[in-house]
Order: sequence, then structure tokens, then C-alpha cells
Amino acid sequence: MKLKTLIVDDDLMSQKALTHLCNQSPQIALQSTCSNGGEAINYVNDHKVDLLLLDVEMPEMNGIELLENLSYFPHVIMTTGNTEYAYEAYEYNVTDFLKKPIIPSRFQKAINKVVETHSRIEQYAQTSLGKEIYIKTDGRLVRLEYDQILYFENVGDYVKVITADNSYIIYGALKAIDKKIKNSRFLKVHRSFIVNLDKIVDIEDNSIVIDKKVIPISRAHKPLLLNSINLL
Amino acid sequence: MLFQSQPIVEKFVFHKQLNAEKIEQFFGGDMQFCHSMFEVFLHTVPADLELLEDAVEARDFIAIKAISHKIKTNFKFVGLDAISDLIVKVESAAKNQSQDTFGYYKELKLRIEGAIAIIRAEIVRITRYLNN
Repeated sequence: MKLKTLIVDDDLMSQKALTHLCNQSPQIALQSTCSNGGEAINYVNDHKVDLLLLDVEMPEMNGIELLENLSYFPHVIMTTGNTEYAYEAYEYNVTDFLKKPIIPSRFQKAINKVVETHSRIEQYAQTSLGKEIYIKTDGRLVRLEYDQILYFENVGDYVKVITADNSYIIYGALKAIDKKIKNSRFLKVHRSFIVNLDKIVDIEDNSIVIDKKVIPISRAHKPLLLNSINLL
Repeated sequence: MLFQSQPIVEKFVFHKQLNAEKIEQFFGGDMQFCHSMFEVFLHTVPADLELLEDAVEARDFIAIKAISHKIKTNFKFVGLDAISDLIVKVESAAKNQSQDTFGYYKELKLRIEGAIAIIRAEIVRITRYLNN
């Protein structure tokens, strides 16, 4: 297992040094490098990243502000020239804090720490991933069993999660949610909808009915839908 | 028994004003990587120093602090510890909006040209070393 990693640093020399260290570590699969906070938020929210190597002091948005704007929480190793941020960083549950320039042996020690935590979480997740998800809404993390969810609907920058007796709004893109759902009974049927196949009432030519809601099926997604149902 | 002769690779000896031990630690003896980092230094730092000079002329403490913070690590990477320590003094004085900022900057300005010239010469020497 390799940690999908993103480097976030505005300084070219630090980027280059971190890239070199990542390429030398067998536990890391470097995905990309971002030079500022905004670019990094977009990348993290659109891709599944396991680890952020995050510079604290960057212009416009610093590393701490960046963490406050993520839709999920990857492991974080903070890198900085000033140790004064260490206390604040630990408030955000970062795994380690490295002072620049980073010494390779110290870097590897930090990566080992992340790998250990990550493996423990993965083990736990294996037992619960197929059954449930947690969604971040109104400042809370709400646990939903997959069986409760009827469908997900994209609404601008947000996604509505519809259950039989409730609906929740979460920040993020449907594309990212599609990648994170670890349950084969969920299928994207349209660019704005992911549905729970077990909740379908009926399917017409270009639409699905779930709990009285008519959901469109796009032409591109229809073949996969028809392959996913037990058609007599 | 046949003994095969091994080519003897002499270790590169850095300029005495550079912290060779630290450079060795950062790059693990990978001279190709060291060479590329020295080149990035020469490519980026002089432009940042010009911005620092502008900030000092404008007496913009916030910009002085931000630029000093950014470049101090770059000097450490190439083993120019004494210059890096001086930049830390500029950064810290600027953070406190102290007039000492300008005194430390003046001292930095006197030493910076020579320091960059060392790096420029080291790149030539490392290139020659790698080609041999």
C-alpha cells in the first residue's frame, strides 16, 4: 500500500527537495504538487489524497486555513521554517511537524508514523466501510448506514443526501463522493445523481423512480445501470 | 584469484564557507540532486532578494518578514548557514517592526554578493566533478 501524497508549498526549492524525498520513499505515491492553498483545496476535494505535505506559511492562505477548508481529512505532515506553529498544528491533529530544510532520516520517521496510523484506520475501515458513511453537515459528523440512503443529488457546490426520513446538505462534488462510496449498490446514473439500486421502485426509458422522486438517467450511464440490475 | 580494480571516486569537497556536513545530510551524497538544487537556488533566490530590497526601501515590515521567511531555508539548503542566520535576524526584527531590521539588512547586503558567487562557482565545480 502506497500513500497517495500531495505536496503543498510555495517555495520551489522546498517543492523540489520534498519531491526527491517522496520519490525515494517506497511508501509514497506522489500525486501532484500545488503552490498555493486554493489550488490545493481544489485538488484535495476532487481527488482521494492520503497524505498532505503541507507548508504552514504561504501567501494568501496559510496551511492552517487550508485545513479548515477541506471536505475530508487526509493525514497531514506540516513543514515549516518556524517551529512557533507547532502547537497550533497539533491542535489540528497533524501527524508530524518537520522543520525545513528536512533531513531525509527525519522525513522517513514521519512517513513511518503516518503509515502506522493509516494501516490501523484502514483495518477499522475494512470492517465498517461497506456498511456506513459519516457525513459532515452543520458542524457535526452524522453516521448514515448505506441502507438508509436513497440517493445523492448534486446542487451547485453542494450535494444533497436523501434518506427516507431526512435530507442533509454537504459541501463537495458528486464526483468525489462517487469515488469514496465503498458500496457496490450505489451507481451514478446522471452527472447530478448517484442512486441506491436497492431503493429503485421502477425504471422508465430515461428515468428512475425512488420514493416518488423521478431521477433522470443519462444516455452514457444507462448501459451500466441495465447491467447492474437483475433483468428477466 | 583475479582482483578486479574498482575506480576510485573521490569525494567532492565543498567550499570551506559552506556547511558540508549539512549539505551531505540533505542530499545524502547524491551530487546530481545537489547540483540541481544549487541551480534552482541560483534561478530563484536573486529575484527574491530584489523583492526584499524593494520591501526594505519601502520600509514594508510585513513584506520583509514574508520574503525573509521564504528565502532563509534556501540558504540552508546550499550550506550558507551564516547568511541564513543573518536572514533569520532580519525576519525576526521585521516581525517586531524594529529599526534593527535595516541594520541587519545592511550587513546582509554586504555579504550576499560573495555568498552567491560561491554558489555560482560551486555549480561549475560540481558540473566538472559529475562529468569526470
